Amino acid sequence: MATRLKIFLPFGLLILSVLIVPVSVMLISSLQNMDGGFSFSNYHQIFFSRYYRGAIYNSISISLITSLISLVISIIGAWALTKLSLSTKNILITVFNMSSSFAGVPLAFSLIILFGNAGVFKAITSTLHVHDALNIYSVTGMTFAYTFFEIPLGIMFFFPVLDSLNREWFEVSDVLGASKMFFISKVIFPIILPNIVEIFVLLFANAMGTYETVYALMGNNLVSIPTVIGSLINGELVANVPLACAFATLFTVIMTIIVWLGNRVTNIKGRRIS
Amino acid sequence: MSSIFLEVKDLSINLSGNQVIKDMNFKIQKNTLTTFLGPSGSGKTTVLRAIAGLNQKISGKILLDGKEIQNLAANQRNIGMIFQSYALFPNLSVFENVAYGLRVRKESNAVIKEKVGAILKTVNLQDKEQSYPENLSGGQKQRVAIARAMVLEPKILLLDEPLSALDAKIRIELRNQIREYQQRLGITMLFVTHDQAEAMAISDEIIVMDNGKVQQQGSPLEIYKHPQNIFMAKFIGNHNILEAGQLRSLGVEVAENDKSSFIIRPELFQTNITGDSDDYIVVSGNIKNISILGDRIEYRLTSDNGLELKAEFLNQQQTFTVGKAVKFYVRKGDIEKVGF
Amino acid sequence: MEKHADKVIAKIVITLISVYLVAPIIATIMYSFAKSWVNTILPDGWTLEWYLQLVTNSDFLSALVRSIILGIVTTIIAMCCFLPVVFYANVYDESIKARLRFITVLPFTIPGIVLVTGLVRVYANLPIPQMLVLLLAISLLSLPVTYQALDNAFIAHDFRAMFEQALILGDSPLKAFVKVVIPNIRVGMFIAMLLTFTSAFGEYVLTNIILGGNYETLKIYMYRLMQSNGQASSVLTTVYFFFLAIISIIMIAIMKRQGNKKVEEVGDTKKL
Repeated sequence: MATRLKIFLPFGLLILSVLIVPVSVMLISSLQNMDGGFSFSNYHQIFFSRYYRGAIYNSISISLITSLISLVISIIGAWALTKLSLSTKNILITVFNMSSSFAGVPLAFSLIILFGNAGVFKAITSTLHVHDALNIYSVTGMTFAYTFFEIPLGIMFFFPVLDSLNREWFEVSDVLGASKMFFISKVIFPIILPNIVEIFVLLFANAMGTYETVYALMGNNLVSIPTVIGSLINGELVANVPLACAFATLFTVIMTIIVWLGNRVTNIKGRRIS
Repeated sequence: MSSIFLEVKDLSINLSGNQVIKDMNFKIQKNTLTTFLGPSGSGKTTVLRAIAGLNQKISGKILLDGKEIQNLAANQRNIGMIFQSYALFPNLSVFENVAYGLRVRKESNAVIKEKVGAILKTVNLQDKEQSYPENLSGGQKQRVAIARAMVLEPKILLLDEPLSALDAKIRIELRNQIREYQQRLGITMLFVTHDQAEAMAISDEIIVMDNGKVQQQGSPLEIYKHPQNIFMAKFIGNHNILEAGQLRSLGVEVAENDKSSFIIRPELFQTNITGDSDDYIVVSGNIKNISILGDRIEYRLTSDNGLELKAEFLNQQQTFTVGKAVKFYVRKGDIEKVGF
Repeated sequence: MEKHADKVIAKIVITLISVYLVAPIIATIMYSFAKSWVNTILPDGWTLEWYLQLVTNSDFLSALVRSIILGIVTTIIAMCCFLPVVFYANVYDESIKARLRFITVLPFTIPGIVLVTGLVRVYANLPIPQMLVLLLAISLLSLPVTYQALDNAFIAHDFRAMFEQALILGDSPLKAFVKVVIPNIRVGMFIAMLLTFTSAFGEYVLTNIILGGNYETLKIYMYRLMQSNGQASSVLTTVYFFFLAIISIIMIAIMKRQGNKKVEEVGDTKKL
């Protein structure tokens, strides 16, 4: 018992001090008004203010679209990756690993060089006399920007799944004379479906929580859940930490439910490959 | 008379809420090789770990050489143990692996060099001193593990399925070597296995376990010939197990109210009678299936009254073909009665 | 025939995706060597002056040092907290791993911006050094990566048997840990430390909000430069990129070596 205590003490203290206590306090604060009394006013404010509803709407629509696009591309990418030679795989995995950790300020800056108002893309389009090209500083632009870290993340999640599919299945199916489409729809798709759901959930959650890239690109000009939380804490609008807590609580509750549901789907299917 | 060396009294062990060992009692004599035999999940490894001091919570007593050891930490018990996965330290050479315990005991370099050299010679690995575990074969790794345990001259050496990760041929070779070390060096060994043949081949004494309990303890011959209950009869060999009614149908007198089972060992069938025919029962039927076991042949036959029986003969006599009508004989005195 | 067609399609797909993902990085690298690059398809000319300017800039050097300090201290804290737990889960009680599974989804359910809200609420007005709060919080955020990497370190050998064997041979648990466990997980530990260091080194959200820009790390400096001096910022981004690349290459090299070793070992046990 004493050994156990010693082993778990540092870990326990860390979890307690920077996870359990802050998250609990955040939960409680979300139910307090500015004077400290109990009230639902924060939540009321979130749901009845057009501005805050817009933040939720923006976050969800950007995340949904970007994670769906990234999901499809990363399945195709991961499939392609399994077809390559081992050394090429290793190099590409390094590349994808890096581009996913390139997210944030560096990515924002790169995108400004490419797609900013004085960027390469603008130069190309104006030479070609194309107008109304992509504006990176917009909801659409953000959706586009997120794909730069969502796609590599998706590929890195999918690659092990597709790589571990049993090669003998393909051979058996060939021997049985099944067509490729038949095999993919009847065998492969049902097997990886739980993984697709799980990875989609993770990509969606990751997009929902993205702050650094948006903030670096647009400051608080794009209204999304993370940027609203950021400005409520930093006081760039009006500092209102309880309201920020309500937003953060809402975020955590929704994400926990979604991730939990995603896990449930995976476990019910019970044929998880990882 | 040899003396009792290890005694386990009323041992009970709970693992994550389940009582996996229930009031277990047994004794082991000095300088013998005793085997714990049982199906997987029967609790044999758990008992071994309790003796080594690796289980956290046990109740009951463990006496080694007259002293209670159940409250001592694992590093105070002077017991050796061999693991199935060898548990060699990959970062140390063979020499340093074997020297590990001696270094813990702070022996001098000269003593270590001498003892390690001698024991590596015993296990025939003197030329591998400077090798690292990753460059050894499975059999060599296990011999290093054995040397590492034996060099400390432990009071008792516990072996937890030491051969199960090895190929069939190496297994037989190594089990004979283990038996040889045991006899030559006079070590008390307690050996866990799920393989009946292995247990039969090397043991002085076998303790068969199932479901957290001792089912039977005895010499290999005793256990093989006289299984105490149905579990033992099924587990230990390839015996024919018959109910009273089935035996009666073969012409053996069995009391009307007898609910026992009976075993007929397949190798006790004969193709002809030697001596008084009244001592025998006759089984006539047709050969259904033949398996060549190498030195022996197993026939499965369906008797005329519908029983399925197995008979084994040495692979030197006439052979029967499938479908042939045959008569096999077995001595009435060879039919063994077992309880439940 | 079909197999061949598959490979060609795969190569095309991968090339397109890689070009797409790498384009921003390439553009940044080009920008960092460009004399000037405004409203043109290619830069006007090439120069190294931005690099010289950055390297001699004291702001850059002190930001670099701050980030390194943050990385090192976080790595130490993370190791102290997580190594014993991962060791315990692997050697004493596997069932703990199931209970620690929540860790893997932590960054998705509680991302930095959410965690920081709670932290600010609790600690902002308390008389404790905010730096401490930051260090602990970054350690926590690195938990999924560190935990996974450490856990992987325990895959290669039967550590439970090795540890128990050392106890039976007479060692105390602590000595057994130091003599038998640590030397055999050192590579995995190194990878875990590298990953933890990288994630702390590049941390932005927590540092910016908790310390309010008073502690200018590389990322915060990068953000400031981005607002004022594009060229200098592109140099910094390029440097940062190469830092990530070097760490990735080191890790791939180590894992490759380990992988080869494992294959050999499996071959050995089969060979006998």
